[in-house]
Amino acid sequence: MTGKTKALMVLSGLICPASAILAAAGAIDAIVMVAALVIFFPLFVISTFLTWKASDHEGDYPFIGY
Amino acid sequence: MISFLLYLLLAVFIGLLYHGIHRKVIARIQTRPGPPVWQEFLHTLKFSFKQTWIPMTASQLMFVAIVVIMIAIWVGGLYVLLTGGSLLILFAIFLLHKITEHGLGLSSGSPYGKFGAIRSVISAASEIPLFATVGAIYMVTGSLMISDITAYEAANGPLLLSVIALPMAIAMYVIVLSKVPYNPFGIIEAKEIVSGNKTEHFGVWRAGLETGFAIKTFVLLAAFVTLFIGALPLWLLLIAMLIVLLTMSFICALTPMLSPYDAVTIQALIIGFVVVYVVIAGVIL
Repeated sequence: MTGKTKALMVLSGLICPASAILAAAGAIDAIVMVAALVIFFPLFVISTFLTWKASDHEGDYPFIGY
Repeated sequence: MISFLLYLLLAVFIGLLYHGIHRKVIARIQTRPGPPVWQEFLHTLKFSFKQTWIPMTASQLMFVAIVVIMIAIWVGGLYVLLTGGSLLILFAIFLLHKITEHGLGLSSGSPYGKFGAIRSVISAASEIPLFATVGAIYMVTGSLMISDITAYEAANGPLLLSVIALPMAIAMYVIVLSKVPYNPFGIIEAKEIVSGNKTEHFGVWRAGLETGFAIKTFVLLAAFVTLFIGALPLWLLLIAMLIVLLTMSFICALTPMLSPYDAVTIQALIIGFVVVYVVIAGVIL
């Protein structure tokens, strides 16, 4: 699960800026870039959160950001 | 194109910040100290760090996919707004948002979630026609493309100052108001049903939802300002969005949560008022 999640995070994290750069360079249409962002940006957000979340096997740890 | 990606990140940042400011203003009006304005960032981070799993009663695929869809639709909405696309597509995205709200509640299998899902259908009955009344902008500007509407405003002044377009501004304002947190029409997440359709989405799933809601708030506030004031430079757009949000914070702070019946009735009355106004204005024009 963690390995797949990390792979998804890296993949989607690369696709999002890559699609924007390719669209800016004129290599792909803007609509393709938007389609890529609509699909991969949410996946990047969720996979990132799933990667750094607390382990399911140990006790929850408190958030120390306060 | 790269600017769109930056706008997307900005939308998440500004959306969360504005949610925090909204909470702070509500608290100060109610003479409470309130949380810091960056509370929603901490909130989202906190949820993202939590242990997370899928409840046994939930539909596993739906439970996770609905969070992804919630973010995805507003990424699309942001693009439509920034590129001056069709108001009809923005309307369709709002429709999808209502369906997603419904799915969010149903996916968990929790009775509180289901109540929230049912209430989202009830509220859709009044919110979607309310959004449709914005289509009356066509009568004034002759187009439903956001780029054409802003061009019209650049030539003729803001629609907000137009007597004919003012009821549409009110309708859109009520739409945006009904989507900000703690609003009087927020029956789908009323406290008597815990957190309504969001009840069972905790941890990472809630953090994802908060991200989607941040983009949604940015898009709806920016759409309101763009449609009724005009195309503004970014800094001015952000200030205008904040002013609109602050007016909503006052309403949220001073108005109790309405019952489902009252929420729908008031929204339906506004629809009736706008429709009558549009018909009369159409006859006169």
